[in-house]
Amino acid sequence: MAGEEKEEESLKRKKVDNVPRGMAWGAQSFASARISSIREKDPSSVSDFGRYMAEKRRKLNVQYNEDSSNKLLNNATAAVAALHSKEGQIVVAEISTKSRIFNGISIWVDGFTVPTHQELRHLMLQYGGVFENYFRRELVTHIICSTLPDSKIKNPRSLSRGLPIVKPEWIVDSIAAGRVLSWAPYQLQRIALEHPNQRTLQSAYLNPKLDHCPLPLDWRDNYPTYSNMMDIDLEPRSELLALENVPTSDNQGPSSVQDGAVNFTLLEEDLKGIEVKADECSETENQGVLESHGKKDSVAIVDRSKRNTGAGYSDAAAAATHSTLGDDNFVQNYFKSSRLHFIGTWRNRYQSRYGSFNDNSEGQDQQVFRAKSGSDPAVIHIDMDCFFVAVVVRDRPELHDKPVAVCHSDSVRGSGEISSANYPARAFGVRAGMFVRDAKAKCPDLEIVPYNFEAYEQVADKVYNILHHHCGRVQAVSCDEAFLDVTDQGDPCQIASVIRSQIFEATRCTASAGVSKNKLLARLATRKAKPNGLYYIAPSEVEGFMDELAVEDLPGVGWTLKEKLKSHNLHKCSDLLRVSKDFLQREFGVKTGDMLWSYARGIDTREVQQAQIRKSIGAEVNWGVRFLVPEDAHRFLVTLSTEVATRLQTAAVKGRTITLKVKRRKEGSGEPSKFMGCGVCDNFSRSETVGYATDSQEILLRVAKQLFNSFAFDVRDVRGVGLQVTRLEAVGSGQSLKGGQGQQRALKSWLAPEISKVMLDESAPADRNSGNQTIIHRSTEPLKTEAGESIPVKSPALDVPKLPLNTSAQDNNDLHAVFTAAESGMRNFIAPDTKDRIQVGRSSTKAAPPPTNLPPLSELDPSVLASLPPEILAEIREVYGELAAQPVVSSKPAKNYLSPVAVMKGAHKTKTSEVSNRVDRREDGIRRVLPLEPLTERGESSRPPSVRPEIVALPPASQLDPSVMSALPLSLRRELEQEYKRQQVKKPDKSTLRVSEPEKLCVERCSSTSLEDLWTGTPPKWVHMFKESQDAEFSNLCVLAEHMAGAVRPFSVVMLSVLPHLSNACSATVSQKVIQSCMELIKQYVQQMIACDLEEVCMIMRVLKRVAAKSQLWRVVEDLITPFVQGIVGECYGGHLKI
Amino acid sequence: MEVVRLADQGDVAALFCEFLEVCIHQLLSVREVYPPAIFERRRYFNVPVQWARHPDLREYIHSAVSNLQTWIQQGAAEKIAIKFLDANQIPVEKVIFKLCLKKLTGTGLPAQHLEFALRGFLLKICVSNSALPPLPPDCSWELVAYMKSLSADNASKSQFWIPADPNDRSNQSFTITTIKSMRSSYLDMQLYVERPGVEPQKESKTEP
Repeated sequence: MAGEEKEEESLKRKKVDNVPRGMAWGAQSFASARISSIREKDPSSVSDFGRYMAEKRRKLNVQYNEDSSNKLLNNATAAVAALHSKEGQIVVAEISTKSRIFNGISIWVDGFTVPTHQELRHLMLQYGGVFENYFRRELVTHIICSTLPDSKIKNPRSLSRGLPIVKPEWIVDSIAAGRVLSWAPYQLQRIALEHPNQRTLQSAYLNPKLDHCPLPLDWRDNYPTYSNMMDIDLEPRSELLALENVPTSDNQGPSSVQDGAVNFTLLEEDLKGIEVKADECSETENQGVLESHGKKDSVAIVDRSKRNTGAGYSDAAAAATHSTLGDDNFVQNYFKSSRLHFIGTWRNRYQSRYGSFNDNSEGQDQQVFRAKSGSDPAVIHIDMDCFFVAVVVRDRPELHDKPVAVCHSDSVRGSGEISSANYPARAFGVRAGMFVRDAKAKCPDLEIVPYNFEAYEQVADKVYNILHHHCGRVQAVSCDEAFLDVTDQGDPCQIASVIRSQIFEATRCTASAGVSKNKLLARLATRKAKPNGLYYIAPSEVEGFMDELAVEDLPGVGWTLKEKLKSHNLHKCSDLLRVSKDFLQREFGVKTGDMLWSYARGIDTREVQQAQIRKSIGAEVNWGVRFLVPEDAHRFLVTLSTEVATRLQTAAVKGRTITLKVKRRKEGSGEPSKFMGCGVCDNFSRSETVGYATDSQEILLRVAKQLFNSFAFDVRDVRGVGLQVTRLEAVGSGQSLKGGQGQQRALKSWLAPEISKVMLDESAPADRNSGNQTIIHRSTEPLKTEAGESIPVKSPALDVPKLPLNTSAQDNNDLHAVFTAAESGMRNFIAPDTKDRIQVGRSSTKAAPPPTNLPPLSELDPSVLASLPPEILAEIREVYGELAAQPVVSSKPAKNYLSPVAVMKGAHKTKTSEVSNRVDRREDGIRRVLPLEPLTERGESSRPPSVRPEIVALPPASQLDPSVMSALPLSLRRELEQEYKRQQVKKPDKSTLRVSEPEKLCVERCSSTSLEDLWTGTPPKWVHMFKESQDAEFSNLCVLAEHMAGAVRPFSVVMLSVLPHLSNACSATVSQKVIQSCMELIKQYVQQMIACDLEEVCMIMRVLKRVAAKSQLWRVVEDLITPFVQGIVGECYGGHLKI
Repeated sequence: MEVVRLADQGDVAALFCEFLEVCIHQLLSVREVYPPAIFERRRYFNVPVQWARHPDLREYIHSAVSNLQTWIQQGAAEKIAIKFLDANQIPVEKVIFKLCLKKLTGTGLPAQHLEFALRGFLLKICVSNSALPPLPPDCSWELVAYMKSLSADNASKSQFWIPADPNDRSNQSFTITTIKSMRSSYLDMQLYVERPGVEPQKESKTEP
């Protein structure tokens, strides 16, 4: 075994030897270390090469020493020095006195130099230096070379191993000056340029003030001690103690900072040998940063310390901590420190805060909403001045006038990207998105500060508080930027200046504001206003302003579009005025062309929107993603999917389409310049649509894994992974958010002028509240059918078809109609004026309902009342004054069941208001969940009149969705269950109810909670489920189940075979539950089959059609399932299935 | 009878290609693209099929399909379509074979099983005419393969194939008529026909 190893070793050595010398540097010190250890073990069997090299080095040394004692050489070398020195004046006589200036310096020469290799050797000999023929990290202090190939320039660290790379002129000039000059100015130009940080470090390492003080050789002997100390005791204190041993500290001038830098260098060099726990190491970093805060030279220290993990030898160790490798909490930590993530999630935070804002500023908002006449629009655009920097700098007055930039890291390689720079820095040409090293090249004094997300949040919150205080219509663009619609609120300039001054008072950060008539102009005005200013574009000035503008200043015009425009000789907006809209649309696409055309004229029709519905939720990690084996990737996907699932759950939405994005290293591109960055990548993305909306981590993970595997990439090449969920639906509803949005608009447009702000606010923030919208809509849905069609209440078969809509794709128009109906009811409640009554009267044939349809006084939300305009409030008081004598309980509409139509209208209205009340009042889960249960007349008519007011809208138990029940908080669920039990006890079952309530509840719970995965197992799960269920209603399915059991035939065949039985089994009574079950059955079957067996899907639909002709149940099912099937076929095949 | 075993995906792909070739002949005959006279009756999997007699046509089909084999084997080819174009070169019908090869494990599976399943397709193709309206006169046809991904390395093997006009995948809606589907442990295959235009959905449902 050992022999083999050695053989291998020697092979390696030979390989190393074969490559050109420069290339071998990287491996040299490791290899030689190994060699020596081998030698210790077994000196006899050492490889020939190792011995040869050692011998050779020894000989060279001897030779060199002999030479140095050879006085004869002196003259010759002096002549050479004279030849090459700049001054060209060297007094030979002085040579002897200054002959030891290079004491302690050991050089190694690479490549072609002037003076030559040999001459330099002589010079070193002459002046007391050491000349190494072979590079060894431990022996060499300086590398001398004039040129470097590109490959070495790119990675000078691998070449220099932290040693300075200096031009030969340094030697010559030092000799001429009679002392060792600072080598910093002699650094190889290209390296200095590419690594501006390095120069600052190295100047700290060898301070210009210390020029005369050569670095003694013995410093190297000390450093293992330091690094050991560092390893054991990572307190910065120990560094300082250790520094005392460093001979450079005999100089009084430099602060400990400089010493620290030296120490770090030492540490760094030894890191490779020592097992460094990277966590501890980064701790030191932080402490180092803290310690040096405020000191001028802190950058140097930070640079140096960062380097430990950031760049140097310990890349591997750093990679372990900073990448997906080894760090189980990588994803969480990643999102903790990501700015983009902060900005992304900030919106959520903002939206969840939004409600509270409006409670505070109701009065003001009220005015805004009432005043909505046709006068000139006014929009203010507020933008914080370099927000990310300003917030950090405000607490550090010493930085106020200095150039400062925010960046996540301040590593020595300068590979961090600057995310924001303040104005002094911008004056130097520092821009966001620049690499730190480029920025430092432009502005050497640039201060890099880290993010302070907490402060950002605080400031953003304060700012938005102020904005909301002044204006009800605020569109948050990001945490530091917003649009305000201040139409009809007085002088917009004055408002803007008040806002600006308040922002400054509250946050000590400045904001700029642009004021004009639309968003585009306001935004452009802000650009003019910056920094810390206000600019107003009056409507009359628009033309002049726009004419001056360059095309690239228009929002939406990026680099590509600018170049395209330039190629058409369109440079300014005035140029755009010359060309026709047709031309623009033809050249740049319909949308872009239209945008350009109207923007150039200062036209912008976009409204100030209060909140946008989010269309997707996801998480993407493109930094630090490194996998070695597929298991790493899978572990990563677990954490990523957990993160996404958490976000979905927080936002209370579920999604159907799951997209996995993968960044793969572009072939041939090496390690990226940004540390642990993604570098040049090819982007891939695949998505899959799951059958039903989900927020479950397991499903996300399963799909993500499947998608990931489908790429079949080498995981080592993966540089970034993103998981995104789209086609979102609010939790607890089947409606997609899109549908919700439609309603929301309807509600908003109607509500805006009249109803209280509270109502609107409830509808505005997207994630949470779209759920509420759907709730309102759904609870009124069955009523609409009834109200609109004037159908008697007690026909259970007829309320059935509409109920399962929550699971099927629904037509938007339908929704809208329903909703309008609901609105009219609501309107009637809020402001029962004549106009509204007419509207109601239109939909019902009966006269306007009596005021008894109002909800009981006890159910009115005081907060709603408080926010109502006084006149409406007066009206309400009047109405309730009349009702005051009536007992609270009996004011329920139940007693009005005299004529069906009137009853329906009445009930409809009351319930809507109940729901809206509920929505307003309840903070807890009941708000979201309780109104979900459809309120049916059947239930109400059987309800005793003495129900407690809290749960007055309790639906019959048969209508309860067990999944909703199970999702309720325990306390709430118990309350509900008790309530049902109480009703049960109090009131004996009416004969109309087929199954007693608790039993039914139980059946339902078991059937619909287990309605998932109906087709798993052989025979499928549903076979047992329906067979066992003794419920008469399931007889249809029982027949089916019996036939299916043990059958290996496709479902369509089974279904066809039961066709004759089905017709008999079908009775007049069909409950929603059965339909639901049938729906699920077929739906899941289709989902299972769609990818692999389109024929079967087609067959099942055909059979269904035939069955539907015979049975009402199946007709309903067919109606509901057809759009779904066509939808899913469209998704998978892009066409329309011919059935 | 000797039991032929399909050992790996290559064998399945080879068998499928052979089958595809027969299917193309059969479809050309059934859809009456060429006069019936140019076909002769043959037997494949014990099913009577029509086989073109023209050597160039045979050669064309054979080379096209056999060039596809590597792609099919690698799972790169997702769908293979026979596209019928009318006299104005506008697609009127696409007969699509959508396939998904499975990974074979163990000693492989007897070829007879697959042949048995494929026979169903041939029979279905024979009668598919009844489900489809006749093609317009002067039709031409082409073979289109839809790729999941196209790797560069095997491009040399398939010089025969040229990249299709990307506009071909228009967003125009079409109606799908299924002909036959198959699920097996070798491969999943679906045969269906796409025809442009959506039949008006019968919205006969009146609100109750």
